[in-house]
Amino acid sequence: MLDRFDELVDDVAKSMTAAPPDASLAHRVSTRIAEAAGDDGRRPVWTRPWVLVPVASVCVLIVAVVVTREGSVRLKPDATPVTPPSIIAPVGSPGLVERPFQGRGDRGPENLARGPERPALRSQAVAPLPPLATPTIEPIDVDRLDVQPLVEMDEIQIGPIALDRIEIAAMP
Amino acid sequence: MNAGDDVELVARAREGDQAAFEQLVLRHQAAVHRAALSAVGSPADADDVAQEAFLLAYRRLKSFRGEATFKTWMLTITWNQAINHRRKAGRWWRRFVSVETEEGTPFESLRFASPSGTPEDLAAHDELRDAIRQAIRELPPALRDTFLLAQSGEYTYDEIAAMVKAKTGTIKWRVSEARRLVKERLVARGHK
Repeated sequence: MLDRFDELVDDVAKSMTAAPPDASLAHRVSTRIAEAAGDDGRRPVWTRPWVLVPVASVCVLIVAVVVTREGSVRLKPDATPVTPPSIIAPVGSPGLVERPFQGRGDRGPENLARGPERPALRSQAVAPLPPLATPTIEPIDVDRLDVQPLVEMDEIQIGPIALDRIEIAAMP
Repeated sequence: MNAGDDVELVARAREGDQAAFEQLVLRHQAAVHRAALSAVGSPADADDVAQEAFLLAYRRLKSFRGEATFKTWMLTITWNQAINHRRKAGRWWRRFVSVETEEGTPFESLRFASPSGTPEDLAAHDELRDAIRQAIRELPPALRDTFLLAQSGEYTYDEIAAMVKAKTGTIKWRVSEARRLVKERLVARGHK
């Protein structure tokens, strides 16, 4: 019975791929190839591989040399004389000399040409702070808390469980 | 059409003779299109795949060493293009699942002659064809692809094996298994 399906199944399968190609397929392919060839012809000279590759290589070489030189300069030992570190006092600290506030309006035209003024930081040694007195804390009195038990549990009585005897008849 | 002519045309196309490549396209466009259609299911998509496959082949023409025939080489490129196309955004799935699309479901539009008989016979015949088509669509992809390629009558088993990168024996088994599953599903749906 199923054998009669075979021919029909094959026919249906064949029909599922029986659509012909578009008549202009070959023409479209040729057009695309011609366009691609035209694009190659209009390509700027500098984008050609035999120009681009050497130029890119030289650029990479230059960058490598620059980076190497920068690295070697930074690796040299520092020749500046070592000075003992000085403490920079914050603005408004006792050791700092206060200057009266000078707004932009107070500045003369000769000063305006120099740009905005910035507060100058002066380094100055800071005098040691006076010793702090140890604070004394008074003890706090706390009343005793009496906590009652939450629930009083009754005793649970469980009676014995009685099981009936199970009679099992002998197998025939 | 013979492979010897293809070799000459390929040689000329390699030298930049676009007319020679157009001859190759005309020779093999039916086989290429049919292979693409087996994979993507829509004639319009198959046209796109075939066009891209020919363009890719033209660009890779220098890498064709003649170990296989130009047709086999071309079909392999086409199949890879078609599978890539099918994977993109599930186009293939939509084509197969939807009953109607704006351009018509391709496999629905391709009907073969109904037998002469009463209207009831004709209706039953159409219903059976639809059931077969549905059963083929529901096959696992490996079986369905191979079955459609084989039943197209366009390719030998060896060519299909080269296309889908499987052994010839595997191709034969897949065709047989696909037919068995289709018939099994027809019986399950009450067609006897």
